[in-house]
Amino acid sequence: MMEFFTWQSLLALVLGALYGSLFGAIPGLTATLAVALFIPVAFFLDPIVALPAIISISAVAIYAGDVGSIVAKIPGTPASAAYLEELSRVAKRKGPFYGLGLCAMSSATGGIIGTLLLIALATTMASIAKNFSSFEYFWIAILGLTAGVFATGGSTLKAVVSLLLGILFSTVGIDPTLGFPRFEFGQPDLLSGLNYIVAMIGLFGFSEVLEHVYRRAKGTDALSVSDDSPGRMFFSLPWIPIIKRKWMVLRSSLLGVLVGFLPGAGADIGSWVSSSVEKMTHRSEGDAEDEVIVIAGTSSNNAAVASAWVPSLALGLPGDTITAIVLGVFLMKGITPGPLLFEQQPELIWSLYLTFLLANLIMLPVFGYLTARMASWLIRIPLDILLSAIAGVCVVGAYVINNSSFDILIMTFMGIIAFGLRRGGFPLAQVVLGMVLGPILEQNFMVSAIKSRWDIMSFFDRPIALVLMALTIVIIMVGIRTQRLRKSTD
Amino acid sequence: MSLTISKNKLGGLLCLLLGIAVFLGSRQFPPLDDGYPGPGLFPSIVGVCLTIAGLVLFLQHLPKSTNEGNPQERPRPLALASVALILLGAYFGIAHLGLLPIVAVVILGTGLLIGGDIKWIIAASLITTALVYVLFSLILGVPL
Repeated sequence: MMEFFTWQSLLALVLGALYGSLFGAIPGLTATLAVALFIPVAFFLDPIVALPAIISISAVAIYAGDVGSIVAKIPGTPASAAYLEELSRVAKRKGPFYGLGLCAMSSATGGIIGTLLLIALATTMASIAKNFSSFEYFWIAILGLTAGVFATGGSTLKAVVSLLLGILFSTVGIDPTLGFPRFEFGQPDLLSGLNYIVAMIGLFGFSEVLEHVYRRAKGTDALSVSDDSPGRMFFSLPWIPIIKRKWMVLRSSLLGVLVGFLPGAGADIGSWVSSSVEKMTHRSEGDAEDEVIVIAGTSSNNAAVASAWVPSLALGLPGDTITAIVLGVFLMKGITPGPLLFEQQPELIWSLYLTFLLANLIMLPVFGYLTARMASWLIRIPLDILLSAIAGVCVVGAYVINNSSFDILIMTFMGIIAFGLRRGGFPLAQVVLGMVLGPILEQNFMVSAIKSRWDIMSFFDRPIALVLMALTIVIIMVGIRTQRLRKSTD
Repeated sequence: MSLTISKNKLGGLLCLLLGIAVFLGSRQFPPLDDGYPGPGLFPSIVGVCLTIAGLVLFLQHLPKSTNEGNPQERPRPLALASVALILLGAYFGIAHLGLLPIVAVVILGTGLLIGGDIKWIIAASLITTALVYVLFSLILGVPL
């Protein structure tokens, strides 16, 4: 373990956090992109230096994605979209330092819980994950979609329509199971499908600009900056709701860990499931409920970031896109992931655990505060100036992902669709959820159906699948009951 | 109240039409060799679900929930269409001018349509473009 405490690895940790905080705060630039751009540098570094940097980049960049939610209502990751509206309202009421402090402290708590569980259960969890087949993944996707439908405070029917639109968008391009091109309208740029980051920029960022151009209602969305000291707002006050709801934080982190360790599921679904569960179980709307949902989503999100490393380390299967890149780094360095890794390279494994703890305990709060400072500066800019700059950033964000002008067209199209959906009172976050879970649902449905020779009963044969199906039914029942209670209290 | 209900009905109708179009479009995809459903199955299920949801939305009388009439609101559909046209121009113009001038034009055009002060809009346009150049071109090496 002492190998970790070299000046090189600690410097990598700090520089990684700085890089991640700057990268994650810019709409369109994601944690995955930050890690991907770091790979050429990682190639020349020792794994004991490269891995701390990657962990630090991903932990801080995922948190920094919430800066976009506060400043421009553009979530940095699909996970952030799960609690976008709630975070935006919290920041509007109590200021950006409190909003981002709540995210940073919950993320750090979730990340630490996730890491401790990772230390205790890594090999056991990996062996459970090995038993998951396409049937179980199909039910996981159904579970996530069901939770997403009932997560909305408004009309369930409109949430279903938004979700279906998202799933429909996910069918554009090459079919993930059979390789057949669909809905590409003869346009080669559509063969690879609609990138959900481009879609998110259009759905949340550009539609916000369109909304203001249409209404010309100036200054109505300004955030308040509290007179209280920024340090107190960021570091101290957010602990009050977190400690008050410690069991909820633990529950959300556990949910994040459970979902995150499934290969391919990752932090996004963890965040959605946790925040949806809290949305369903809280009847009253208001300040406290918004904070609860933000805490649930962010703690679950970072807990899943840690547990997504389990299938990568123990089975060689990526838990999410970041760990997929990390597997590439392992192979580049001649490290073979698998159960033997824990026996053959214990110093590497322990340095990973330690890095996760340091990244969540020190890097996330410190660099989180820096990004909150940046956000507080940005929100002082008059709304009309900020919105016109956001329009430019939307163009840049959409273009640089693939260096493709076609993505600007997609972003504009998504912005116009989102403007129409907003006007009609349809939720936007469910569109993103549909785009993320659609391919997982389709691929696992088709694979399961083909391998069982279209015996639909095979979806109900396996015990874990049955447990997931039962959970889905429970979510539907709780969701319907909550909707009824909401209506009766209204 | 009647305006909101008609919005729901319009939404329902559009959803219904989209669902039918998706269902018919997905029928064009070939089935698997042994006659089992192929790549069209999943989109056709989505199409059917959209059609049903659209139909229910069209027939259902949902209560007024969002977009309550704001007295300060002055709807400007022409300004909205102009922003969309600027972005369309950006798509065509980027191949000839590159990203940076296009970003400057988008910020300038949007700012003017929102109704911002011209001096500040020009400043925002220049500063944002310069930051984009420094970050993407100089630091990250992205060809703009």
